[in-house]
Amino acid sequence: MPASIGLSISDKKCYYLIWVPSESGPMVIDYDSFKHEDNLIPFDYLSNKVKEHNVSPRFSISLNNNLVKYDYSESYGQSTVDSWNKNNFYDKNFQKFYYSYLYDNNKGTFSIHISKTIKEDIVSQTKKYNYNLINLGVGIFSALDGVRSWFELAGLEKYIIIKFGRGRMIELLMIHDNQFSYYMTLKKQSSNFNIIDFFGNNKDRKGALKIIENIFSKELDSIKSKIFYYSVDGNKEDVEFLLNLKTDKIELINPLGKIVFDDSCVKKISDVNGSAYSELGNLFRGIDV
Amino acid sequence: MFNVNLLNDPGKQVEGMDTKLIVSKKNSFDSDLDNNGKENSEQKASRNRINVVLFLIFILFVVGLAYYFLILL
Repeated sequence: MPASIGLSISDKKCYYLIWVPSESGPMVIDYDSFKHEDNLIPFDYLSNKVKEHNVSPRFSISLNNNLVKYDYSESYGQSTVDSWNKNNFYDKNFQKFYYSYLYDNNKGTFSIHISKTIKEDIVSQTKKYNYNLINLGVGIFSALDGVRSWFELAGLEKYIIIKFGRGRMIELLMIHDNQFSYYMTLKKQSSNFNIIDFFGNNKDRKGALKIIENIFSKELDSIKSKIFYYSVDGNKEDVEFLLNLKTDKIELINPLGKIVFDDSCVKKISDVNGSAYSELGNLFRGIDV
Repeated sequence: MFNVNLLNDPGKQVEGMDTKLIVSKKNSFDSDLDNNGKENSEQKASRNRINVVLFLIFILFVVGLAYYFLILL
């Protein structure tokens, strides 16, 4: 039986979900999380799952943020200057060790770099097990694939995905006209927010921070974009604060509330805990559920 | 549409908003090596030319010196 298996890796845990096609769309036959302290892909665990369910799988994997590097180079409006910048930044030594994925927007280029060793190891492992790997995503960008499948986005010019992670880390991804706009990581310290990284046009930096500040100061009228959020070991108080906001501008992502389950794997799980499965979104890419 | 799949084939370059991938450009790297090679051989050739000219000047000097001593004798 063909099955799709998704695996997302966070700091301390792995989340997996297995679905098979059914008349009512993707039907989940198994899902759970397990402790996983290192960054290696637990192929042995997955192999046991494949044997347990006797399925021929195709895999989607979502990596932890710490397995990739990000950067953003602003465009100066002159192709020669931009390409000179890129050639200096991504020199031969860098290209020797990293695969770099570049995403242009009208203000610059966002880049995700993955070590060749890591990627080639994942690919060779899947070949070893004779599995079909169809997607290799990363963190919040995999959740973006899920949001596109699970929510009606038509008519939304802009939308934001927010992730609450360990140690009060918050990630914010802004999508504008289906394009990357900016990606920001920040840390909440009591009532203050410290920007850790910002990848996007610097003019948007203050506005991005203001969005988070407005949410936590309940100034919701000033928020102009739809916000989807999820938590993977995020701070409970912060997540509950958002849950208690009475607004339709801010919505929790709970993939488990969007899909059909086989009777054998129905479990009681809170909406917030269910949102931790959001980074399995690349498993649903292109599928309306 | 912006979407991330780090499984794209190395070398794939898609225009517009989709993924572009930088990989080690073997060809350009090789051609850079070739260029370096070319520069070296050009330098060698010019050095050879200089050596030949210096040798000819030396021969002329020796012949001139020999001729001078012959006149003196």
